[in-house]
Amino acid sequence: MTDGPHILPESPEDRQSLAAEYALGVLSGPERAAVQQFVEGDAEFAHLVAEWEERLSPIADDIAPVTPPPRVWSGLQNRLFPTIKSEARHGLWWSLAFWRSVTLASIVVAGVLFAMPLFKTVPSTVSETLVATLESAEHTEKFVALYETGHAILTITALAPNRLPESDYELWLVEIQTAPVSLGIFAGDTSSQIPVPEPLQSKFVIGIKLAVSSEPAGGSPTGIPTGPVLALGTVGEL
Amino acid sequence: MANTQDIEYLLGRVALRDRDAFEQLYTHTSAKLFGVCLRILNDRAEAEDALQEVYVKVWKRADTFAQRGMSPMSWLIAIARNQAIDVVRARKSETVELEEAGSVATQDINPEEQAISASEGRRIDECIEELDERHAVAVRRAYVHGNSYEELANHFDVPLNTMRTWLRRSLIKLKECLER
Repeated sequence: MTDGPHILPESPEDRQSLAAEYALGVLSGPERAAVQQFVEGDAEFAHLVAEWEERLSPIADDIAPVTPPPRVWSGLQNRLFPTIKSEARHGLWWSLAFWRSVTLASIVVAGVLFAMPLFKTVPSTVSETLVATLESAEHTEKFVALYETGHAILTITALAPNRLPESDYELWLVEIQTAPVSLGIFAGDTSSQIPVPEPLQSKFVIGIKLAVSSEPAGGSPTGIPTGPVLALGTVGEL
Repeated sequence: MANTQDIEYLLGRVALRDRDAFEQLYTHTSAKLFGVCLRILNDRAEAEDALQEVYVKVWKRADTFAQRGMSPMSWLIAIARNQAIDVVRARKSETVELEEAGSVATQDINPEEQAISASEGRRIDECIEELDERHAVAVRRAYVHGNSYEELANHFDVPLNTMRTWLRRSLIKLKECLER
């Protein structure tokens, strides 16, 4: 048997033997490849292999642990969780063409805005309402953000939410040539009210951009977007 | 020291994409898996690469652990052994087989010693002791060193088919012994 069995053996004894030999590790390269295919294609056979792996694993008890060097962990992180910084220079964020193509609210959207719940207290005379529609050509999600400058509350509504389980939408304030600053996470199922902290309030002016990215539940662990940017928009007057 | 339930909990969190849990899992289990890879690969650089591949697989497949019905360390060790053995099998020549005395991890007991000395009461050891001495050594060499049928046949100076028969019969006996 030089190339490996082409089909899974019929008899239970032969299947047991093959599962055992695979778990022990003694099969040749081509045989292992063939058996790996059987494991992927046949749940019952995969279970036999798992049983054998479990049965034999106490033999590993006497294998001494050896601490791996730190570079293995850092290599893993770079590979599994690359940071946005390296992507940002070439990606969506810094694409001038993309930014120029983002437009302000349309009349249809303005109609939707008037129907949306606004913050309840009477606005002060110096407060203005700023708005942004956030969208992108590559994603279906659209968001509308309303910002009351006097109250420093941002209301964000998802128009076509499609949030994956175990993920959150995260809202970012984006000034050009600067790393995005998080305004917080929101579920998007209904309108969410996000208070804007004092240091950021002065940045909330016409022309500033807002973006929504998809992040792991609880938000980006790094402080900058780690997931795909779903929508981007420019803040303008209502 | 993390116990089985801790590892199982961490794997569950990793399946939910919890990166902190993944880091903790790595902290608690990577030394063992690195040891396993080193015994099979006998090469530090290859073992480091293999270890990285192992944890990429753990990250990607953590959600399949629950359906395997295995204990968490057995599941992890199996991923490590499969990764390391696949690398060994892919090597151009399968002739390099360092003796335990010259290998990178020298603190552990070599398979020959294990076969001869009394076990600490582990069921698998008792069952392996019931096998013919050479078969017992072959089983341990296969498991710990990742030797192929061909390498074992060469080591014991028997025809390939004889080694296949020895091991197939031994594995069946082990199963029967463990099920008693």
